[in-house]
Amino acid sequence: MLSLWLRRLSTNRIVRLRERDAARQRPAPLVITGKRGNVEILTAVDDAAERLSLFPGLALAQARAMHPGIDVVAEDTDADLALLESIADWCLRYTPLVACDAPDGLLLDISGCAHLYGGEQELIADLSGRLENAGFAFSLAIAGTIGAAWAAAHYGKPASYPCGEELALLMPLPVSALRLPPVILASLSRVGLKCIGDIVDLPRAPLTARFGSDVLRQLDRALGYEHEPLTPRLPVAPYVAEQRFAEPIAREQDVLAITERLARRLQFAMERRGDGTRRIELALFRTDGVVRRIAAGTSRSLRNPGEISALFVERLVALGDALDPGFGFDMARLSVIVAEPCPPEQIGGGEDAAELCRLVDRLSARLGARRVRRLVAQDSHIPELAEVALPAQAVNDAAGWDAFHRYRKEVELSPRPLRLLSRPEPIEAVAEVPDGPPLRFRWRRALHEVIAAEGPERIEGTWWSEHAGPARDYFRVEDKSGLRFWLFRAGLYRDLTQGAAAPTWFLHGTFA
Amino acid sequence: MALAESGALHGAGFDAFGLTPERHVTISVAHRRDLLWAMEETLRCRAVHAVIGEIRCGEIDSVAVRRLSHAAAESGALALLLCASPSNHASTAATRWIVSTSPAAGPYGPGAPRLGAHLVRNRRGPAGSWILEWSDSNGQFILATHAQSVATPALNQPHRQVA
Repeated sequence: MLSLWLRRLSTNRIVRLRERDAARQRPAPLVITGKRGNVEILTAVDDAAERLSLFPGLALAQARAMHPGIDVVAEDTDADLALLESIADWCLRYTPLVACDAPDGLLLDISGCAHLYGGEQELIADLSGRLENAGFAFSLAIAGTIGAAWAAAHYGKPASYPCGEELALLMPLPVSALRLPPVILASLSRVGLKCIGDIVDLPRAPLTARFGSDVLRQLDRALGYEHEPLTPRLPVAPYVAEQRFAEPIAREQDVLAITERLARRLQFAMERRGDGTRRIELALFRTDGVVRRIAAGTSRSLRNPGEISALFVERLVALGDALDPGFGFDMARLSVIVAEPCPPEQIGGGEDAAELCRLVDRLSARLGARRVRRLVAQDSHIPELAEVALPAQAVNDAAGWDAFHRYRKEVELSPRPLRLLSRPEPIEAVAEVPDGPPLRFRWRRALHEVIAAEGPERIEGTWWSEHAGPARDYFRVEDKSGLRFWLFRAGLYRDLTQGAAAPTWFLHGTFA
Repeated sequence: MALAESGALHGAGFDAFGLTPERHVTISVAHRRDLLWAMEETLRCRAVHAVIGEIRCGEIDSVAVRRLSHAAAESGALALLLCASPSNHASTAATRWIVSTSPAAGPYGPGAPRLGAHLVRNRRGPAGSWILEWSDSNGQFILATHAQSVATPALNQPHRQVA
């Protein structure tokens, strides 16, 4: 377990921003302030400010009185978090299990990953070198448990501690290294328990009775007696293939070629377990630390490398310049995010269906999955709720339509319009009171004379719902030029006596 | 590929024309070049029988239309490009139709849907005008009786152009 503590995350962020602008010449001690209660206090300070004995928690007025020359910037926790998350994404190059330890730390589960870099020391050297180049102040430590690594990174000597030496590592550290809430820390220090060594040998029952169960749980977790789960920021992909490059790549063809090569590697892994992918993601690690993640979905389980890389052809075209390779990518990772069983393909049968799936995938990859849709029948009599358009990749069957066909035959449903307005549009209509069809009406500023009408077909609102509208009487009407419309009157005239609003007319759809 | 302005396709409605809503995929695009690309891409798929694109108006890139024609000829699928308010520019499509509605009202309310189809350009044959009526028993459009003159209603309402 590797714990990374970015000591000066907020001030480093400001400095990086300014370097980009290159506006400031004379670096003044930098402090970040935020409001706690009614007081403006320092929330973070940089090295220079710390040398002036400013510290987080000091009131801003006091700090200004001590050193009028300090540079004060308001805190922006969202930006800090965003930066931390982007560093977490970047750390995915070391291990797929990266967790954010807000506000300024990261936890990396590097078990089984260190050998890829030639050992823990080499991994630390690589990570440190890159972070230093990026201009971050940090300390990191490797230990057997999350708690021990965290304690060593924050309070101990940054190093790699072998498993089983947690006790020796923790003994001299202060109790605040156990990640306890401030209230408990205060009461511990009140009775003189300053170091972890002070509480390790104390009888457990009185300790729990006095300070709550948190103290011993955190201690047990740090010592490895109790398991502490790590919540990775991103779901761990079931299949991953990655490739590092000696020379950064930037051209689109190279990216596609490497995608296909990675997909071929994944194919072997997936075939062994009879899986295919429904959603796949390509992560490109840029040399300056930015990570580009491109995801593509498929409408059926897929593992053919040619088809997978064809999806990314479309995605890259759709991205266009947004890909922005900068100085090139030095690592690529292809991960299967959603895997599903993929039955071995039969040659000959179902060619058309497979062909259509491929088409849907290509269109979805280029245009976006939400633009390529299929109509799905819903269980409702209200026309605008009777069907929804869902992404074609998500639904692949004739969901609900069989039931609709049966229903239409059974009740001899009157004709439905070919096109339905998503929201009925109000019209001005002249109609016979109370139940007659309209004689003429005005829709979108054009006047239509009705020469024939059919109806009404009454569709009641959903009486069990609070948002139920009034009953609708639908008419199919034809105007002089032969245009056919589907209109309805919302509300009944007989309800007027009970205080209901006057009925209004709407146009809901057009026929062929 | 329908315009949202005049309403989304309603599955229950085209069910009545013998078309099965479960076998349709709708695509909405932001740009015209995406539409033409998507149509061409779709035509190259052997599983597709017909592609219908709908645009509001304006000129269509003649090269793109020719590409569509080629793709349609190769695959044998039908490609239609609907234009809500057609321009008069020459098109490179094989045929160009002006389709309008035609009065169909009988004494007892609206009758079966009727369309006036006016073929204004045909590369491979003569042009002409027809009035088509939907026949529920046959499940297809049939030629309506020529009780009314063919051309007048069709030309009064240049409603759609099919390229």
